[in-house]
Amino acid sequence: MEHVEEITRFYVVPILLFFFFGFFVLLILARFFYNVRKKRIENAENKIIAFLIDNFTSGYSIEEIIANSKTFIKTIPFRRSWCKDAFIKELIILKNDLTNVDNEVLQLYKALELHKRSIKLINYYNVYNKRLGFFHFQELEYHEGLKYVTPYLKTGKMRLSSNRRKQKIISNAYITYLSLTNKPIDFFVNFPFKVLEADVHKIIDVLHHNKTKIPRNIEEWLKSKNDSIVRIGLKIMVYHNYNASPKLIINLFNAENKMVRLEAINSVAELYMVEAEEPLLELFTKETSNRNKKGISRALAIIGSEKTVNQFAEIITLDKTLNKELKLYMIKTIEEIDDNYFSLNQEVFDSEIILMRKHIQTHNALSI
Amino acid sequence: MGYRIDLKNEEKTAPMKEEKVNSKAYKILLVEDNNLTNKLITNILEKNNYKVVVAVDGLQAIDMVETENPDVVLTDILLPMKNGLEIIDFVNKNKPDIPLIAISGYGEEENTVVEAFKLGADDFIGKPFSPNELLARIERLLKDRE
Amino acid sequence: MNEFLYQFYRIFEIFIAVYYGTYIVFYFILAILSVYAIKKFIDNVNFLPEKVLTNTKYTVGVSVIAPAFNEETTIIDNVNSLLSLNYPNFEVIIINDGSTDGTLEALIKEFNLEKIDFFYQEKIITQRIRAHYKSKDSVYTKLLVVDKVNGKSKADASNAGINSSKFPYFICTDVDCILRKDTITQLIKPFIEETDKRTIATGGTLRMSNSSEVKRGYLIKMHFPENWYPRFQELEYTRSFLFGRMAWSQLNSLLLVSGGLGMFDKEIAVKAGGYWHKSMGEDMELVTRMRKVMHQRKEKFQIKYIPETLCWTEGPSNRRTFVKQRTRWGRGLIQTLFTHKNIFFNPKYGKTGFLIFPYYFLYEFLTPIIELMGVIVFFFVIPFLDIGVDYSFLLWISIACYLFYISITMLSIVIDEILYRTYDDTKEILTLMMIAIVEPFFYHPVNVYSYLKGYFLFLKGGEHKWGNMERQGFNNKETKNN
Repeated sequence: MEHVEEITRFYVVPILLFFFFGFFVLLILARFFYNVRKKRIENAENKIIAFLIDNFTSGYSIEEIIANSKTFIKTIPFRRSWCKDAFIKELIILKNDLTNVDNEVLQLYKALELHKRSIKLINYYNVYNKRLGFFHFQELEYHEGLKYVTPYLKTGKMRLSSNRRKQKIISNAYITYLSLTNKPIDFFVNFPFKVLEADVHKIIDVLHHNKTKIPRNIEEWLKSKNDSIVRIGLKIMVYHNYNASPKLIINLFNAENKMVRLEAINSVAELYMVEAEEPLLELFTKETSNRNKKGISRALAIIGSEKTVNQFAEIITLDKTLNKELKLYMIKTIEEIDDNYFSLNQEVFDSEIILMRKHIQTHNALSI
Repeated sequence: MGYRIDLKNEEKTAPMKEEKVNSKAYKILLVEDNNLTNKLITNILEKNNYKVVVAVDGLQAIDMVETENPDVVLTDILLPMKNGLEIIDFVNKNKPDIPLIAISGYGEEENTVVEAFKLGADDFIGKPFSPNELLARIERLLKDRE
Repeated sequence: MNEFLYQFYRIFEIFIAVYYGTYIVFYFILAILSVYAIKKFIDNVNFLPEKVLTNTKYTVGVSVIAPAFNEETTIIDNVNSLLSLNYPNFEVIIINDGSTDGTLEALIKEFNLEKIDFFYQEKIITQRIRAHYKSKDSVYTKLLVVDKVNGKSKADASNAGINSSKFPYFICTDVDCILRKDTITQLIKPFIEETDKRTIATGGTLRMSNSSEVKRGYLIKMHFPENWYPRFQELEYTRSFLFGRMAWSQLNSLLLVSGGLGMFDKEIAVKAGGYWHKSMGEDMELVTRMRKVMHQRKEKFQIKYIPETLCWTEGPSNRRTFVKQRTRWGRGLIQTLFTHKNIFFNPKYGKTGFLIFPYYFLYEFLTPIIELMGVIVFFFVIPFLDIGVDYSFLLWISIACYLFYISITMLSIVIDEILYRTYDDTKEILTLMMIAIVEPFFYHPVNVYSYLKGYFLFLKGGEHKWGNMERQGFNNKETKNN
């Protein structure tokens, strides 16, 4: 007992006191240094902004801008990495704001050796910094940076702790590579992981901004063993309006993965492949996922014909166990293909269907 | 996407300093939260003899439409507090004779643009923009109003 | 008699030593996990830039559900604030829960609403729905108002909102909560950044809006609350959100996604039967049932917590309302543990049965009771014992406990300061620290009292009231597997 008291009194309490006051001091210091730092950063940022605006809106040539910048950087703590980061950040914003400055911005970036800062960021162990470096390359379209990104496309070369960490870095590296490369993006078919939903968004974003050419091996993508590559392949086809291989897409209706099936269903609609109507109707009868059935219904609203109307009308009147939400979708599909159908055949439909139809008309959107 | 006007072949010049169409200084309300963009547009406009008042969030913008009575409103879509679409709606409902230009960010969805026009925006400019184009659009709106 | 007391005292002493020993070890582990989880979160913030998410047309839709009961004066501003959330694909569902004032009329007038023919599917059974309204104006297409008969609970109103929602994910909030503009983007991220586990719920930090500058439903500037009770709560929230929940999130063992702000996978929530209208802590209860569903399905899942302040809420500002709120929480806690007692050490429920529930029982539920026993022993047992009690020993142990407690609090303040700098004013942060030092003496006892009162009320309420708790609607047939 006394033993415990002694330990508490002479060790535990002092240690806890130390922690408490340690935290206290840390708090005060953090606040103090933040305030100092904040002022310094704001100062520098404002100067950088003023400089950039003045130089880029007054009709200077790029040589003049570079010459000006060499004197300008002496007025800010340019050696400091935070200052360089701020400079790059503002350059990116400027580039996104003004047309016709892409090349000048990139030249200034190189002339001030800011790319070295980005490379340094990529070499950090910390993933946040790595990504920031990738982001600089991507936004400023620094094509020479490709060689610093390439090592991250392979899983083996990295000294990273966990697989998840690796995966998240590789994902960003792939996106950056995708946005920088002039070559067709055929290599992507080798993406080693499952592609996250988040990656799909990023890839579409890159496709929108850089007029990337459609991969020559795009049809190979649809045959990939990696389901997420198949899905992205389909998205890319849709983006490029590539409708040369309806058979290949329709074949994917038999895929084991329901997400792949859904993507294929959406694609035939977006690519307006009317020949997919029959296979879709066939798939509808054997599909197990309700979400996919809704997808089929939506697709048929775009590419369906009289055939769809008849088959769907039969299902909604006869199948009493039909999922209600799916039924809503099917009614909408009929309505989209033939907006007179319900008015002409009123007597066939029960009150539920009539209410559902009104619901669709007033509460317009349905969703996935 | 389709809204970004490609001016790649346009000759690079400084914004039209020489053509001072606006003898009396028109007042423009600029609603933009990004520091650089904000100063950039202000700079371009002031060089061309416009008076610029700035709001950095949606709520402030709505107050300033009332208090400042600007000749043109230039608003970003993504803003703190209220967004640009709500500002467009407000201006259209309360001050229908103030012309309004929506500025939309890099790669924003087409839907936003359509929505902006539906709500009563008179014109639209996408980022990245060319200063001359911005000035020309403002001038046209001012001329139309007179 | 004396012999009995003495034996009791000895056993109690050993029990307390073991209890607090493990408690401290547990907290220490949680502290480390928490810091690690926050670091990981920060490292990953730029994995998916917000710009990418707000610009794409492929984003998944989210329904924002907010029940309102007699909110005539503030409803318009609050709905406006919800409608201006920054996300490409969402709807706002306001449930007028049978308000007796002009809430519905105010909504109809301001947003130009009209009754619509709505095909309502009662996936979760609720009180009767009177009507659905939508706006005639195109600016407000995102708004849907549900008018229903009052069900005397937020749960019932939220369920009506879930039934009326059209998107696969929903956010549940209160109409008087102020949400940050990027709330949906922040909360949806875990749902789309995960591959091998299904994310079923996410939550974010809540703070007190009591003394902050609020204008027309928007938070202009954050201030530290001026009243004592909100101040204590602010401190408590900072600690429990940043510190406790972050650690639990890292262990993938969150049991509570706060009722003020949480995003859920609708399919699972409906499968679990939605909110339970008789629950006193419907938020924790729902998560418990959702976990059960996932365990039963043997599907890998996660519940994630985001260390960002996304929501400001008005906390109780005096003792009376505060005690009322905490009594309810206490009742909710014991009710949930009791209702789902079959989870304890049930291999079917994995982590939930072997880690989360035992932890909640031991260190959340039992703590107030043990503290009460401590007081009783100190005042009513020790004085009657002949043995000389070592008061200096007790004193030093107490000091150590106290210091441990405030150090944990300080750590969370430090984390908050370094990451978010919530307060601009240095004075405000110093006040927060003072509050941390006095909290164990003033605030904590009231809290303990309220919880005990809650337990007492629950036990008094007896079996007849709480007997048949698994409602029929809970095992719903409507939800088919996607």
